[in-house]
Amino acid sequence: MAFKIASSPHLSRSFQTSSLMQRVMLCALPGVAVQCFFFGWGTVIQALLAMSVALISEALVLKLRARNVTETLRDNSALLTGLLIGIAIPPLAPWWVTVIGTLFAIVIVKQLYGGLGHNIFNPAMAAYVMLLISFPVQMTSWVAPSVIASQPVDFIHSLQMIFTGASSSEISAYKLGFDGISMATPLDTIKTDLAMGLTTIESLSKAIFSNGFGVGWFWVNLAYLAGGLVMLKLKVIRWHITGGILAALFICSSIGYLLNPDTFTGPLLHLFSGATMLAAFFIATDPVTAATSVRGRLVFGALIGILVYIIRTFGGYPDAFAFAILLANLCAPFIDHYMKPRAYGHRSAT
Amino acid sequence: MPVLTLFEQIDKGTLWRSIGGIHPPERKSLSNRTSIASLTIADEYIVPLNQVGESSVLAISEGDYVTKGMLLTRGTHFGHLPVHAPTSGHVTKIEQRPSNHASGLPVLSCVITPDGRDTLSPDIHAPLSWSDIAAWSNEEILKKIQDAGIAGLGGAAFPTHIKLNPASDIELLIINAIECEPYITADDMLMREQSDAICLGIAIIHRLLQPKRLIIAIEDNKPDAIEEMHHALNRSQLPKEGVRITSVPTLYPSGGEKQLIQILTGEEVPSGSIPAQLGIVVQNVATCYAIKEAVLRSYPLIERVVTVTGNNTSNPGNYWVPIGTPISHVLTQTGFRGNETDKVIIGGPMMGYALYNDSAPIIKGSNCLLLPDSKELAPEQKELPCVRCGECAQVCPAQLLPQQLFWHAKAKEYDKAVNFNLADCIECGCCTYVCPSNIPLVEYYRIAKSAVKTEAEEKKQAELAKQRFELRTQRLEDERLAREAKQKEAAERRKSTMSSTDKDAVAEAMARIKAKKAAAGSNASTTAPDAPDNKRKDVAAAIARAKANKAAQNNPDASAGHSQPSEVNSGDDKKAQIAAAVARAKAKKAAQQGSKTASSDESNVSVDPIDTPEGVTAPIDDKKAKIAAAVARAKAKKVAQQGSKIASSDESTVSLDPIDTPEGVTAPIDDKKAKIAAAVSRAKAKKAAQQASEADSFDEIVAPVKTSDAPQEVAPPVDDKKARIAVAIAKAKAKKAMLKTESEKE
Repeated sequence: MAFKIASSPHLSRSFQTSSLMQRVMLCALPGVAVQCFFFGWGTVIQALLAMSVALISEALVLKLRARNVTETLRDNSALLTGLLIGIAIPPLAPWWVTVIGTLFAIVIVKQLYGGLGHNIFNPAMAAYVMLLISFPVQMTSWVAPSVIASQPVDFIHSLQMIFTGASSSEISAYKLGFDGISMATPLDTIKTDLAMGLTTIESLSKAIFSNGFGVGWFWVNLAYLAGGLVMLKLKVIRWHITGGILAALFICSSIGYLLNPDTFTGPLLHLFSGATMLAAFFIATDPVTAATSVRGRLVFGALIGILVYIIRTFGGYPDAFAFAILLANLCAPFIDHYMKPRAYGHRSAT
Repeated sequence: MPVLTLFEQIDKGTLWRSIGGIHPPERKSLSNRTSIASLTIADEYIVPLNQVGESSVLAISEGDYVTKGMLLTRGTHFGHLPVHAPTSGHVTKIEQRPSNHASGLPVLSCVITPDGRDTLSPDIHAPLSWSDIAAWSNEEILKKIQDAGIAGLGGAAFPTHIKLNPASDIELLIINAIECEPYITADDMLMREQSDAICLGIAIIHRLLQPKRLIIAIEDNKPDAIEEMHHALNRSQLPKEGVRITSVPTLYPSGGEKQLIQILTGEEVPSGSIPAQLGIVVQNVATCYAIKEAVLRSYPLIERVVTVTGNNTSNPGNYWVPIGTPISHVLTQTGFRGNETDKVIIGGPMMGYALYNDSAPIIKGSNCLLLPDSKELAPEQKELPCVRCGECAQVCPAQLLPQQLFWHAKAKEYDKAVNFNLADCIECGCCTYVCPSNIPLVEYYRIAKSAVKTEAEEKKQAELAKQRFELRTQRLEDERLAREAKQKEAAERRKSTMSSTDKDAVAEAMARIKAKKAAAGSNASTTAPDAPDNKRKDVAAAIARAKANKAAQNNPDASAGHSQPSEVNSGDDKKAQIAAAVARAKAKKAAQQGSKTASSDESNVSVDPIDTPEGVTAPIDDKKAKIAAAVARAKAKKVAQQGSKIASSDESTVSLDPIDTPEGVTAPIDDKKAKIAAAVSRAKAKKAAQQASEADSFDEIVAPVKTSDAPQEVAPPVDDKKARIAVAIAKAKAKKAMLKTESEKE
C-alpha cells in the first residue's frame, strides 16, 4: 500500500501568527480603557475607525495584488496596525486624519513593500510621523485629562467633533483645565517650560502634574505596562527589545538627572510619560521591522531608548518614539549583519 | 578548562545548559506499558545489500539455503558491514526492491523465503562469560563486532567497529540512553528488560576504549529504566570509579550527539569534526546490547527492538523485529487501522520520514514505526509569510539563525545560506515546530543543502572539463609544433641533399615562369596593370559572368547553329558549371570577334585563360582553374582543328596546365581534373548524340563533342583507375551514339 508522504517534522506547536496578533490586541485593551477614561471616547472611536479603514484598504490592495483576501486578513496584522494608530492619534482629531494615516500605513508602508513580513518600517509609526509632519495642529491637540479638565468630552460630542469637524475654539475648550488655563501634554509642558528657563521643579508644580507624574498619563502607562507584562508571560513577545528601550531610557535620564536635576527630567517621569510603555511593549516589538538575533534586539532597543531621550531633551518634538523607532528600523539590517550569534561548533562568531 | 577539572565536574554530575530545544508532548505512555513482544515469521524477508559492489561481495546466490544468522555478504573493504539472514529459508531472489528511505528508491536486496523453522546458524553458540574473553585482544573483539554487522542503532547506523577504533585516545565514553523524541520507547524497554546484558556490552566497549570516565545518560522521564540500570551497574563488571549514571532533564533534542556532549561536558564539537577528536565517544544503548550478543555469542545483528505506536495501531508497544521484515507485515501483525490517506512514519514525529511504500523492510536504523491518525499530529497548514518573530532562533540547538537560512534558501541565495552555517543544521525540526507562520523550514534547508551539493558537483565537473580542454589544446599545439619542426627539418635535409643540377633546374623553371609572365604582360595590350588586385579580379570576374550570362541569353539560337551548352546535363552540377564556362568562352569569343578591342578587364580574371592566343595564364582559383582548364581544352581543340599554330603553353605552370600540344589534351595530373575531363567527354558524347539528330554543322569552338574526335581527344589520366573507367565509359557512350546516329542516318 502507498501512504501519504510529508517532510519531517510532523509535529507543530500550532501557535499561529493570527493568535499572536490577537493576544497583542487583547493585552493592549487595559491601556486603551484607561486612556479612554482619562481622555474620552475619542480614543475608542479613533481606534475603531482606524481598524475598519485598515481592513478595507488591505482587502482592496490584496485584490489588486491578486492574493487571497480572507486568508491574509485573518492574520490580524492590519487590525493591530489600525488599533495602534487609533491609540496614538489625539482623541479629537478629525476623521480624515485617521483615515489618511491608516491608508498610508497599510497601503504604502506595508503592502507596497510586499505585505506582511516584507515591510521595512513600522507602519503605525511611519503613518504617525507622516501625520505629525503634515497636520501638526490636529496632531498636537490633546485634551486635558478628564479628572482635571473643566469639561470632559462625552461620547456624542466626541463623535460629532471627529466626524463633522471641530473648530479650534471648540477644541481649545476641551483643553482647559480647572483653572481655565489651556493644558498641553506633560512632556510638552516640561519642554516649553525648560526652554523658557523654568526649572523642572517649577514645571512639575503645574496642574498637569501630580506627585511628579503627569496626570492621567501615569495611569495610562501603568496599564500598558501591565498588559505588556502579561504578553511577556505568555511568550507573545520576548523581553530583549523592551528591556533595551526601558534600560537605555532609564540610564540616559538618570545620567541627565544626576548631572543637573534642574534642567533634565528624571527617569521615572520619562518612563511613565507619553507613549513610553505603549511603544516599548506594543509598537517597537513589532518583529517584522526589528532586529532578529538576541544581541541584535538588545542593541536595537538601546538605540531606540537613547534616541528617545535625545529627541525629547534636545530635539524639537515633545514625544519622540515614532522618530526613534523609524530610525532604528533603518538600522535593523545593519545591526543584524554585525550581531550574528555564534553557531555551535564555531569558536569565533561567523 | 583543564581536563581534570572537567572530570571532577562530571563526577559531581554537573550539567551544562543546553541551548534552545523544545518540549513537545511526549506521548510515551502509549507504548511503554507492555513488555517487548515478538512477531510471527513473515512471508518473506528483504535484506538490503547496499554495500555490495562498493565494499562487499555476495556470499550466497539465488536458490541457496540459509540459516538464521548466516553471512550473506563478504567484505572487500575495511569499512564494510556484512548483512546476515534474519531467519532460515531459501534465497528466492536477489533483485531491486524499494528501500526503507525517504526517497523510496529501489536498492539491491536479498529476498529470503523462510521455511518456518527458524534454524539458528551453527556459528552461533552459547554465551561466553566475561572471564572467557579476558584473553582476547582488541583486534579480535573488533573483528567479532564487524563480522556481526553491528551499526549504530540510534538511527545513524554508522559502523561500530570503526567508531570503537578511533585514532585518538578516548577519555570519556558516553552511553546515549536519552531517547528524546516523543513516542519512542524502544531503548526504555530494552533497559528495563535487559539491563545486565546492556551493562556487559558497555563493559566490552569500556575494555576496548579504556576511557577515564564513563557516563550513562538517561532522560529523567524514564525513572524505571534509571533504577534498573543502577542495579545492573552494581552487579556488572564495570569499575565503580569513574562510572556513573546521569539523569538529564527532558528536552528535545538533548539526545543528539553534539547536544548531549554539550550538556554533559559543556564542550562543543567543532564544526566538521567528530567527537573522537575531543576524546569522546558516544554510543547508543541498544548498540551495547547488540555488541554483547555479537562478542559473547557470535550472534549477528539480525533483529532489533522497534516501537510501534500511534493512534492507528491496535497494539502499540515494542517488538523484537528481525532486520528485513517488510513493514506491511509489522503493520498487519500489530493491527494497523489506517488507510492511504494516513502517514506511516519511520522514526519519531520530529525527525522521522514518511514512508511511501510499505513493502520496504525494517533496517538496522529503524527504531520506531509511528502510525498517527489524521488528528493526532499537526494538520497540514498553509505557509504564511515569515513575520521575523525570531522564535526559531530561540529554539535552535545548533545556535543558528534559521530565519536567515530560510530567507536565503527561499531566494535561492545558497552561498549566503552556507555563510550562515547551513551545513551545521542537524534537521531536528525545532524551528519548524515553533514557527507561527507554518513555514516548513527543515524542508527548505534540505532543498538548499541538496542544491549546494549539486552545485558543488557541477562545479567540479566543469573544472575537470576545463582541465581536459586545456590539456587537449596544449597537446594539439605541441603536435602542430612538432609537425612543423619535422617539416622544417625535412626541408632542410632536402635542401642540403639536393644536387646542384636540381637546383639549377628549379632556378630555370622559376626564370621561365617569370619570362612567360612578362611576355604575357607585354603582348596582351588589353591586359590590365600587373599588380593583381584581388578585389578588382573579383569585380572583373563578376562582370565577366554577367556578360557571359547575357551573351548566353542573347544567343539562344546561335547564328551558326551554336549549341546550347546549358542544355547539356543540366542535372549535374559540375557539368553545369563546365557548361557555363563553355558558354562564357563562347560569349567571349563572340565579343572578341565582334570587336577588336577585347574587354580589358577580363584579362585579369582568373577564370579567363582565353585572352591571348599565345598562351594560358595560370588560373588562381581551383574551381575556376578547372573550368578554365576545360575551356582551354576546348579552345585548343578548336585551334588544332583550324590548324593554326598555338604557342605551346609553358610547362612550368605545373599543376594546372592541360594544354601542352596541339594534338591533344595532356593527361591532367590531378584526380579531380581527370574527373572533369571525363565529365567533359561525357558531355561531349551526349552533345554529339543530340546534335547529330538536329543540326549539321557545329560551331567548332563550342562543339564540345566531335563525334569522331571526342573519345580520342580526351587522354585518360595515367594514374587514376576511376577516371580511366569514366573515360572508357564516355568513349563507349560516344561510340554508341555515333553508331546510333549512323544507323539512323541510314
